[in-house]
Amino acid sequence: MTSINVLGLPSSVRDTLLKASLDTVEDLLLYTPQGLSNDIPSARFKRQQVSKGVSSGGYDRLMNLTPNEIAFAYDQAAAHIFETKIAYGSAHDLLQDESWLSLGDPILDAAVGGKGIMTRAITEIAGESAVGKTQLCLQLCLTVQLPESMGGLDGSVVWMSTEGKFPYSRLESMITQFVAKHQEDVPDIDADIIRENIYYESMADQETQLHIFNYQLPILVHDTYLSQEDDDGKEEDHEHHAEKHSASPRKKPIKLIIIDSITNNFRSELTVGSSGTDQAGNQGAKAGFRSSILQRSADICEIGLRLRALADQYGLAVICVNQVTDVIAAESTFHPPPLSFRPQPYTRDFTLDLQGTGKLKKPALGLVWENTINSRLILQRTRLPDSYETDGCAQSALREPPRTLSVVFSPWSGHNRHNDPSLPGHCRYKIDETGVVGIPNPN
Amino acid sequence: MASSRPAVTLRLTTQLRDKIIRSGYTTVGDLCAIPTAEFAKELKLTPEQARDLLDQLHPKGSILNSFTADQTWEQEKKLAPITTSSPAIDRLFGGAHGGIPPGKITEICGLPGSGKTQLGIQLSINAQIPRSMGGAGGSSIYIDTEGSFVARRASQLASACSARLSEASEAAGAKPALMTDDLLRGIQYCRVHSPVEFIAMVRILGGILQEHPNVKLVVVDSISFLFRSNFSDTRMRTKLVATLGRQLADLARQHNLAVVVMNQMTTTIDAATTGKRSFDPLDENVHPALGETWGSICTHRIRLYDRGGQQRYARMFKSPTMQEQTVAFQIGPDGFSDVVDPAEPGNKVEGGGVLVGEDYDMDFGHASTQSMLFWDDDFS
Repeated sequence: MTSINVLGLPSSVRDTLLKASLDTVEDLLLYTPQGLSNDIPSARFKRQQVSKGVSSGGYDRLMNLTPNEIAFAYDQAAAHIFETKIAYGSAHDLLQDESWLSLGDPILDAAVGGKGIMTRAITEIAGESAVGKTQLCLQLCLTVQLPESMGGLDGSVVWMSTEGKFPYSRLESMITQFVAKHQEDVPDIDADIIRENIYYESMADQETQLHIFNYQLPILVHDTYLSQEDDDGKEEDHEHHAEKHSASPRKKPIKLIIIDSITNNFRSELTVGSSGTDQAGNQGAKAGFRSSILQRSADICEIGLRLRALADQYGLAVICVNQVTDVIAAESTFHPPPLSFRPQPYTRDFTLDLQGTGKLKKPALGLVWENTINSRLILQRTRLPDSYETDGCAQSALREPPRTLSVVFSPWSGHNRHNDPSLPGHCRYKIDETGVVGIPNPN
Repeated sequence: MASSRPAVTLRLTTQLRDKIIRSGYTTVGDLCAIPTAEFAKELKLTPEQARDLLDQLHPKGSILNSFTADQTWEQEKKLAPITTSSPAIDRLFGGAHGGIPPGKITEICGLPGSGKTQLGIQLSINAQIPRSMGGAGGSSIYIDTEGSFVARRASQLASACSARLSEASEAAGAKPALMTDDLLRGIQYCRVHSPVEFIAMVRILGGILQEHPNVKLVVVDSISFLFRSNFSDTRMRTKLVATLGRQLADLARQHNLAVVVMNQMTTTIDAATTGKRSFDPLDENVHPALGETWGSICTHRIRLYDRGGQQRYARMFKSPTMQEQTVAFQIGPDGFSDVVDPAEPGNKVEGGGVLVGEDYDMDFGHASTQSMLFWDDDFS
């Protein structure tokens, strides 16, 4: 919110606007009627002003302004927002700014479009439990710290968990492997620095979650950038004396946000039946569920907007882990849905268990969330056809079933909802002690 | 302007309003009945006051610029539509060349992954195809609310487009066409994070378009992301969306540019009871967001969807000129194109699997018959 004082309006105009409670640039743009010169303030518009806490008397004062004056104020406000908030440039410039975060394995990267996942966007990783979602995220925690020449972002990561404890012991073993693997390429790699650059936050319930997204996360991200600037400053100052001294753990700016998982709090707090609020109390289960669903949608939108803005402002990659939900098989496609989450059997779902029970699953949180994310990756465990057991690929000591990663949608790569390994957007992977590793296509 | 409108409701300064009231004129009709110059002399108005009054009595918009249908038609014929690179989708719009028509708002809606953003990127490149090759020969502005515009993908599509153009110009013996970098420079991109920023951007757009008359396409991807259920005041949301839509439509008309607006789909709760019109029998309670107010602003509305993740379809469900139709298309590494049909010529409809899949025609009912005819006409 910016005060209208910055707009350089004639004082009479400014005073009138202030009296009408249009005292910020944002309010001026949102609440001023458009088509200014020929609108008379309607009764409906006055009601809006009242609900915003502005007396209609205050609004009437606006009538003392001429249309030209209001239009001028409005244009000034628009110009101010345009200059301060909106980055405007050609796609050619944008191409230079785009950066990508490697998944830590060339085969996985190739499957998702060549360079990994895009920054400034929200990528969802969905899959059943124990399919390797957390493993992949842990791997990203490490690759994000690599220099940009190696597919990393030279940044730190914040891990926001709703699902119990952070898997420290697994991370520890992965760090050991990671350091050993990259010792030669990256001379200054150090396990302590890696640990220093992984922030962890726990979000116990929905209220905490909203608070963290609204206030704490932006501050945390901003702080790491500030301290980065400080560090740079100091380094320049003391460059002559203490060049060798910079071996101490250095905090990097946050370049990756991982939310594991976005689903948990929304799921556990979705009230079915009495919603506990006084107004919905009497109206029975349906009303309670309905209002709860609407509230949930609003919360999801809010979180999405916050994450998007943050990601764009600082050039971050955002990873959201999502759980899956069973698709209730509808006997007839033309029946009204039991709840608002209607399965769409032909278009959107995919079989997670190809040869087995044929159960349909889809990522949780429905269309609202689907509209919020930029791209969606699915991890699944498949039972493969028998021929696979006999060919060379399965000879590894691991007896666990092979897993697959596929792109459901993404603006930068083709999608593959068909589990067809011959098409792009798809690969097999396994999980070993180093992390998630792609298996080359046998063909 | 209603002549019985009270004169006090004119948006004038207090002094001027007092003068008018004292002079005994009560309605706008009375004021319009006498020449303003005479009136100004009588009331001793300053030139500024007279001009304000004149503006109010005869708002600029109300002076009708009327054209005959013939003139409008001539005008429209001169403007080149913007091709989608898929002749099948282009034909949905009708006309000799087909493609996204200038001067109007076209809505593209669809679920995530249905190809909205890809189409946006494709169009912003295609808008630059030179006039000599039947394009609009302009530049584009891409307003991104979602952050899904990927410049790397745009450069992929641009190099494919550039290759096609050079081929064509070599064949015609003309000078080399646009290069990939030129095409990328011809897309102005801006990222918008909030409704307020979007309002400001649309307001500023008028100025930008005046400075750059070469802009032939504005893409908004997407309008619904900013105005979703996190907007607390639904009435205000409706008003804002309607105003923004009107502003965009005005810009499109004034500057003869095509405005393409992406829209998301939403789940309608209790769709069964409200009995709303269904857009796609495949999933009947999914509708384009923002409701009917927005829908009536768009001239053309197209829904993109895919079936089983295999075949993509575009369905025109609102158009002033064309029937409701469905066509198939595909998106490859080089962008949009028609479905390459592996079947024998003359066997298109049956063998291509484009329209007759398992229970496909059942799903589409009446619409499928139309589209079958359409395909038949074109390919046999």
